[in-house]
Amino acid sequence: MLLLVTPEDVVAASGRLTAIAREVEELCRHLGGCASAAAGTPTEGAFEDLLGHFSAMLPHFGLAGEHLGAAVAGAGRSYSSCDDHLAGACGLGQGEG
Amino acid sequence: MSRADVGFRVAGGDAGSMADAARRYEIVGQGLEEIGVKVRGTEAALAGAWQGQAASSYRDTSSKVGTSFGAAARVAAATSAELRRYSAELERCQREGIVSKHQAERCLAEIETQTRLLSAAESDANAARAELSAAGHDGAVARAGGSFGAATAAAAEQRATAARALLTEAQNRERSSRQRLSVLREELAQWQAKGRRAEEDAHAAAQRTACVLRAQTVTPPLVLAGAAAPGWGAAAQEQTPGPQALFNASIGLSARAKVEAMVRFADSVLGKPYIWGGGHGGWGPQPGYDCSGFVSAVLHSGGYLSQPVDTSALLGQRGILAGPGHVVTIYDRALPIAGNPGHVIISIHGQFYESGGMSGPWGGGGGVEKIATPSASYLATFPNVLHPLGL
Repeated sequence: MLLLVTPEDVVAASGRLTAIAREVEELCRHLGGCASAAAGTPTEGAFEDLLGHFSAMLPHFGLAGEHLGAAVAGAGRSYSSCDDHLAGACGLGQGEG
Repeated sequence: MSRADVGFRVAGGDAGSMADAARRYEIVGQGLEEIGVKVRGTEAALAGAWQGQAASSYRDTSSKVGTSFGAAARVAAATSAELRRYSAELERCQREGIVSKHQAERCLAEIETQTRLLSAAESDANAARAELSAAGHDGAVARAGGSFGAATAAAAEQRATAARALLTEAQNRERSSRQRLSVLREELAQWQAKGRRAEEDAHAAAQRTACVLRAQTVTPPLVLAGAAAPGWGAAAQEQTPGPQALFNASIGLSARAKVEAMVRFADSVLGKPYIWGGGHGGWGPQPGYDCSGFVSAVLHSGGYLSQPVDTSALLGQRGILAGPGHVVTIYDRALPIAGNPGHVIISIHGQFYESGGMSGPWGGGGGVEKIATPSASYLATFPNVLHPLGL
């Protein structure tokens, strides 16, 4: 490694971050199962509003993970490429630096 | 039996479903918390492996994202706790209400029976009194007849004795029914008071829970805003969810959630440059928007429009109606009027947004931006005042 970066670690982190979208989607689906829980009570309107709010906002959390993961993946690729170029320029194989 | 019969109503709703909802929010809260920890953990894992400007930018962003997840987790946990509390209170009130209703119905039924018995006893007592009076009269007449009426007088006395016995027995029944009725009425009043208290408690609990639920707000993380460090590359261009993602999330949502999605999208693209034709190529991230491309994307974020449309086509789109809306109003000018070219702007909760257009004291004339409320004379240059259905 030539840079102050371990590209593999960055890529691994990106994978974990990208998985957040699926996890949040699962949470969103789980929450959707209680849509009619407050039916027949005076809390119905507030309950549905809050559920709608969560349903609208949770995808943004998923996208946050997705975008964060994509950005980190980009960084990983970028550093990896730089590392390769540097290694090539220096005539070294990976792991020898 | 109706409310009028027992004097109160058993609180409605399914406490079990409410408890299930509480469990679901709890799981969501735990999930969000775990993801927040994971995000922060990733940051820690990279701490030694990645340094420099991009790493610093990433650490800052991931810290904010982790914090957002943590905050959302706390909102979900608070919601869960409130729903659990309400579920328990609703269950208690319903249990007490059902018992009270059952007992009140029993009292009412017995009161009805005792009232009938009292009426019969009163009727029997009246008949006995009449017989006693008649026997007394017959006896007096017979006794006035001297020895000739002795037999009749004796018979009258027997009738009077029998009538007295009947009267006593009827009066005993009367007294017994009255006493029982008094006890039953007192008992009924107690069960009714208990039932009403359960009804009021359930109502108060619901009011409190509704209030707590209305106060809950989740703020999603704003990812990658301003991130321009090396390596963030193309992903950094996609700073916020596009209108398609928001559209998908908005389907079937409440008006409030739709409006929130629209504001969220509009705010997320503030500062994007005006580009003629921008936003008309699809719902994905755009480098810039023209006026109708921007308004189309905002509407799509709230679940409206299947494709971007220009100023001449807004009116007539499914779900877009004529007239100002309660929350969202679109001011559309398809053709140039009085020196003003075709343009469209949108107001959400009284906040105007536009891309392009002419500048005035309200601002405007640049890219996507929030503008102050334009003058009435300027707004009058928009012949089509529209609103999304339900908003």
